[in-house]
Amino acid sequence: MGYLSLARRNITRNKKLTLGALAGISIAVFLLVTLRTIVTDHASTFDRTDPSRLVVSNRISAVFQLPEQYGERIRRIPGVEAVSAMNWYRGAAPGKGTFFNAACDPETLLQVYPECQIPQEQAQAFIKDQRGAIAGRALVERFGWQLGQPVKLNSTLHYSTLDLVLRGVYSNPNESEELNLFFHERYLEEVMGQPVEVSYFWVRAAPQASLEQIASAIDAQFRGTSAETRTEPEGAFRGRLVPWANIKKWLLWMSIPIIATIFLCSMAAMTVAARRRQRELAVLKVLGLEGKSILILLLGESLMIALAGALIGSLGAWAFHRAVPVSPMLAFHVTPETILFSIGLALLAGLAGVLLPFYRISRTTMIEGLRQG
Amino acid sequence: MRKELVKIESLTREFKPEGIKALDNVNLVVEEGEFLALTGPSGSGKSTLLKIVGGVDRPTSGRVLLDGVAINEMGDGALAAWRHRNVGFIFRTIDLVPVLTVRENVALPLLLSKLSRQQKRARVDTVLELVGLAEHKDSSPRKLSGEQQQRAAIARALVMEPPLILADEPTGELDAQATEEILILLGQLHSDWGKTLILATHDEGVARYARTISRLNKGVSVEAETLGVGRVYGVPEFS
Repeated sequence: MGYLSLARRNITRNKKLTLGALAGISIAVFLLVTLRTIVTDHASTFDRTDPSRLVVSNRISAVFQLPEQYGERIRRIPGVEAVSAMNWYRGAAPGKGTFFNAACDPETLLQVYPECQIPQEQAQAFIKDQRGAIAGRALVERFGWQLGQPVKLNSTLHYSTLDLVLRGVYSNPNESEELNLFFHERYLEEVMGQPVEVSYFWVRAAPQASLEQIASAIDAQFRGTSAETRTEPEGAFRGRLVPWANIKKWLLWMSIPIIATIFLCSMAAMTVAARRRQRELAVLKVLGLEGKSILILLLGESLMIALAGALIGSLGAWAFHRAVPVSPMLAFHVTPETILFSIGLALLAGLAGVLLPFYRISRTTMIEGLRQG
Repeated sequence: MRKELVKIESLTREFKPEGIKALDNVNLVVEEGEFLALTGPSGSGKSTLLKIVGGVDRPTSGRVLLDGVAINEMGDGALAAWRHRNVGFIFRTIDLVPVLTVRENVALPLLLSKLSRQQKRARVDTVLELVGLAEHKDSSPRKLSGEQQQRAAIARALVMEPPLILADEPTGELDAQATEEILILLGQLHSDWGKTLILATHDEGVARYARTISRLNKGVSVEAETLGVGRVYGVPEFS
């Protein structure tokens, strides 16, 4: 029998205490992993925005639309390589919930999104079929769709229903971008019975072109019209739609009580466990197990509880979020770094949990300890 | 003449801030292979003396020499290591770890030992055989009687093969039958295995199992009595 074996047995001696600490740490780690994953998911979306891409939206607000013919005029501006119009549909698939879906020009969509990879035959099938749609791999996996499968979308924004057919599945290095679905703008117009305006134009600049000059030229082009534009880099546009900095700050603040809970659970469990075994620990000291040995023993117990809590919490969060998506806009990709971070933090809490009890034990003489119990 | 294993010189232990003297200028010699009972009423200083001899407590003044080494002059770490190698403790309250088996409890002092796993196992089996608990080695201490638990504690005290065994009221929580069994076992450790034992007890009947009795009163050594060998293991008269 070694220290670890002894520590493992000691954990089982007060099951309620151990289970309480384990539950507290697990739940807190679950929440921490959830928050951190939201942060890393959003961060990856912003970090991976294409620096050569601009978004043109209505100057007043992104909720106002732009005339479709702006697209051709933007395309003629020097430095512009490709333009694709997009119209947010806000459709929900019955029984599946909401996710990002938009009407687009299928001919130009992939020109502004070169990072999206789609088999050539699927891209052609999408272009040829006016009812065709393409969806990201993560979305297709989440909903269990198959190529050729009918997809119905109901929109409360356009008050209409679309009957689409999945013609292609694209992949994107950013998993959050794989939660989108695109379909033909012409099909939306057919369903609506009238031409539809554009929510925003996605613009891809030529490799050597100045984004600032292109943005200024686009906005100057439409100044004084009834629908003035606001052209900005893709990252800035996304940041304006989602006030990410505020959300991130809020999430980080939320992390503080969660982390404190992990530390408190660990400290409370070890303090109570050590207090209940004062005499036994004094006997171990008498048997020759001085300071370092007692510390190893307590550390073993504390770290085992912390590690078990971290594993249950982080792997539980990973499994839960794979099964039950929290947000249709987030891939909720629990990264190995997040799991390692949570485990590391829990182990740190386990370490901290031993400090007070060990300090007390080292200050208690064997005589005082033997008088206990 | 046998070797002096324990030599106590002018030992005083004063508890502050009350200024209570638990031991006052005590002198005592315990020879190797001796079985000494320290007796006296409650508060006479028996347990304090035992703890100082075992390196669990430190004297206010005086010296404790074990095999010529002044243990009260050692640092805490050295004293712990010395205690681990040289002293086996048996307490009144039986402090076995409830989540460990008897075998694992007995093996606890071997956590610090550099013996191989096989050597440790053999040593634990030997002492369990010696105290008559071989059949119960895989049992939980909770399933043992008080006497059996104390036997396990004795095995734990023996497992490091220390030259000195200190027993502080080891029968204090046992009934008469169990008390006799434990005292006979302690006597066998002395007679058959040549262990040096110091037994602290307030019970004169228990003390008469020893070969020598040293009486303490209010921290002062008042009398020493050497008993005949025949009286040591005879049927005692419990007070």
